[in-house]
Amino acid sequence: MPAGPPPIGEFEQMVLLAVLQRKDDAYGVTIHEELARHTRRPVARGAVYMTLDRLEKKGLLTSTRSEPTAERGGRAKRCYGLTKPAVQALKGSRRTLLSLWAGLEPLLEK
Amino acid sequence: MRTVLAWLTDAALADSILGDLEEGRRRRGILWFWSAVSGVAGYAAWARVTDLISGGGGGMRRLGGDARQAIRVLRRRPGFALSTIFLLALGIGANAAVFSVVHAVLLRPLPYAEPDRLVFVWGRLDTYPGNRHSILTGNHAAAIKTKAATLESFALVRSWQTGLDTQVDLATPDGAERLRGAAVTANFFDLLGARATRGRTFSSGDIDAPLVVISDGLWRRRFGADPAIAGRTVMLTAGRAKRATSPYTIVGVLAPDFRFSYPRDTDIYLLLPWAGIRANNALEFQLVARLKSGASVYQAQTELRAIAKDQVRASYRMTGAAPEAEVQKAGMLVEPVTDHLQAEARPGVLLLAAVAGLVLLIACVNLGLLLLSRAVDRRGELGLRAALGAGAWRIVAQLAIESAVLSLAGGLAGLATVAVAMPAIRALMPPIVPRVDQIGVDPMVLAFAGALMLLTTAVCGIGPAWIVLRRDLLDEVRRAPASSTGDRAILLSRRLIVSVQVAVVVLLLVGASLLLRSFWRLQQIDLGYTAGDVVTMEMRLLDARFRGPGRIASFQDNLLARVRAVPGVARAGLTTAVPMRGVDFVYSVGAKDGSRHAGNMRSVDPEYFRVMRLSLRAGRFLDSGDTATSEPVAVVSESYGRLHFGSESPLGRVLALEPDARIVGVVGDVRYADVTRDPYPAFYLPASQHPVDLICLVVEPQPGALAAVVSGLRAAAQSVDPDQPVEGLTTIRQLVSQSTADRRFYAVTAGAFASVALVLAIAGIFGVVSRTVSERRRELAIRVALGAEPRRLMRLVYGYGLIPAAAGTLAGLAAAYAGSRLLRGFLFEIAPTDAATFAGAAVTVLAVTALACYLPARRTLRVQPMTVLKSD
Repeated sequence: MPAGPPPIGEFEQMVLLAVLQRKDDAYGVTIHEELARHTRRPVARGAVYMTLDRLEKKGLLTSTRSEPTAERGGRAKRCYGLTKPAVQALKGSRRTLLSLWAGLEPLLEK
Repeated sequence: MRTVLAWLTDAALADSILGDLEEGRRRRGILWFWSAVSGVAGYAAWARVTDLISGGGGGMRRLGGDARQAIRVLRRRPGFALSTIFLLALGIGANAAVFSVVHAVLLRPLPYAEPDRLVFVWGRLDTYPGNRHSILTGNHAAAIKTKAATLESFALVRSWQTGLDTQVDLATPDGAERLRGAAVTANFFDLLGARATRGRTFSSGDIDAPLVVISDGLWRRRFGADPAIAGRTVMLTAGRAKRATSPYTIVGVLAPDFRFSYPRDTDIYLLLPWAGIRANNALEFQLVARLKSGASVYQAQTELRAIAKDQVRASYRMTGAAPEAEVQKAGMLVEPVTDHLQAEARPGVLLLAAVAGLVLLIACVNLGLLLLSRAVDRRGELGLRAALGAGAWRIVAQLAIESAVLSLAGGLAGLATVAVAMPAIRALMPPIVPRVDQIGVDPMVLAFAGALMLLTTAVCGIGPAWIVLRRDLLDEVRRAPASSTGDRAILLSRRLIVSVQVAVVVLLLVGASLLLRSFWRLQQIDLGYTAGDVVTMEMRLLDARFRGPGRIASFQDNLLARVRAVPGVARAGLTTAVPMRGVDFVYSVGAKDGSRHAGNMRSVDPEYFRVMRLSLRAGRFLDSGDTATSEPVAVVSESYGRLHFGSESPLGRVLALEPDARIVGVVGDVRYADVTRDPYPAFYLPASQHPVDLICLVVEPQPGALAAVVSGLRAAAQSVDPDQPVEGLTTIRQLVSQSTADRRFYAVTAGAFASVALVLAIAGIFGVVSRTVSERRRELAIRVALGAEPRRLMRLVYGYGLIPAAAGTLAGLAAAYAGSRLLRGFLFEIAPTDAATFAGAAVTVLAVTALACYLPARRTLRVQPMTVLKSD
């Protein structure tokens, strides 16, 4: 099997997109806000953190740590960014979805 | 919380998560924060469990598949899964918590090299019966040095606990601080295998120089963890007869885990020159030695005893043979350092471990009941699997994995609770327990919890597996499951389980009520003085500037005047001893008839009696008319008066002191050394006539002014003499409460564990009886149809619970009786076989069992025979 980007699930895809949306300001709090805003339903914080951790282990995310601040009780912020394989994986899944959707819009608008 | 999260994820991720949530806390408050933290922790725990299960490949894959299947099965019955997880969390959590204490206090090796070979050697002086740990003289040390072959090496110590010369004053910006010091011979640190984190410890090249090694705690507290501390010079005041302030060089800082005294650490170590230890009896030391490799404590004990006897014989060499009685009495005591440090805490900690073990047993028994019932329900399902070709062992494996998943979830929940509760557990420990700071969830505790999880998996898996292997499962498919009226073996095992459970609960209840009643009696005891909010503070005037006639007296007068001027002070007095704290002078005083009697001598001022609320039995208290120049007088306690004068009144009689003192009053006895021990005889002399360099203030605040007095007292003392250190600022209430803290702790924990056990047992018995009633509803229906009286039916149902409970109660009482002597040391004024306590426990358990049977019994009255029989 050729070594492509690792397969990603639906929630993982949403998390990756939320990271992209927040550009330079993607960390736990903002990613969670972004997801809640777009999905319009409550999102479990724990799920977001565990997914971020898993995506990093899969090599789809990188993280950098900022300086600790008093506002955060002296703790560092962990900011996330996408890796190349992640971008490839997102492109691939977008392509698949679009081709599956092709010609189906009128059917759903009925 | 960070520990739990770090354990579930990793440290860096935990930090960033907590940082994120901290941001939210500022906007949304603390409640939001805690619910968010627990949400994330719960999710992380779940992710970890599923990771563990699905992880690995090859042979692990089937295990993963079985585990996922087990999780699916358990999720279909969330009530069952949650109650088993709760039971396991309780049992494993309680035991992990107690094990963390046992490990830190008893099992973890002391912070020394090869601690098993380290011993203390004490001089056994039979003149003080009961005092096993009397210190050694220079004579002993000299003899050991030349003759002992079982000791590889030894070091001598003069510590702050035994001598005043090693109480060292360090000048600081907030006034002088009195440090706990120890003078040690140069080989002390090498002998113990202690290392320095900065600089060095003493070496054999240090002969006699003003050098000190400091503890990690002092280095951080007073020197701001200065990295360049080694070589720094500080001014210290030390010594007794020639107490003086002089420069000392700090050569090093000890590792943070090094401790030589518990519960309070030694701050500073001075050099004790070997040349100062002459073969004489005037200097006293603690001796710590390393046994030669292969030598036993017993061999060392035998050898040192012989050396001590030889010494006595040698001392009579000039005058003839030594009296046999003197030789008999001579000896030395060899005690492993580990034993010495743990002796006080060991019985209590082991008691806790036993109690927690019993709670785990009850939790396991309850779990066994749950799983047994469930296995019975699932016989049909398991039979179907067997019919589809699954071998018996395959099914057993599936059941074992189900209980493993339950154990894992329960164990993790228990451990998480323990980790969160850890600060509270440390705070609960009474002062006699050493090394409390090391109690924590460490790898050993995790391993112990892991072992418990395996054990519960095995225990809980056995019940269902037994059913699988015992009978042909295919039979189960042929039988309609609803027709099961419970087979005999299952009924019997249920009864046995109820009996075991009740027996354990009775045992726990008896133990806990004995401890609680003891503690209650301890609280009711008349101490002879107030145990209220009297503030106390101590000063030892060691400095040379206090020597000379009238100097201590004028310091006392000044101090009292300043203290009485502190806002909120109602009354203030002086004494040389406060209750429940170390120093209380013992003097042996002669009466005119030549007899001598020992008693506590306390030098006090007139207000002392009123502040401490001692009761006057005859004559008068001391008063302001008793001055340095007036007639010498004394007040005696009732028991001291009886010792000297029998049934005659001591008033007007004379105590042979320097000078003779006429007794002017008799006061009630006080329990000063230990609440549990009978009061020791005492006499009181006016501080104006007998000034002593130890000054303990006792101050009664006005109502509501306690905090103001506590904060004003130190300043008042320092305004009299800023260079005089002040120690032990506390209240009598706290001192008395601390002195019984260990008993309170054991009583409260045992009581809590027993209550939990009782609740679990009620739930267990209720479950068994309800289950039996529903399984036998066909039989009950037939009985109703045949005209059985409702009352008889109720009696039958009560029998399901009460008969095995009665058997269990008897077994529990027998076990409590057999084990009663183990509790003796923890009890106060109550016999370990107290009949009322035994009867109370039995009645409670039987009443509770009857209560647990009530609902199921009521249900039988509503049995509609036709409905039941038709439905089958």
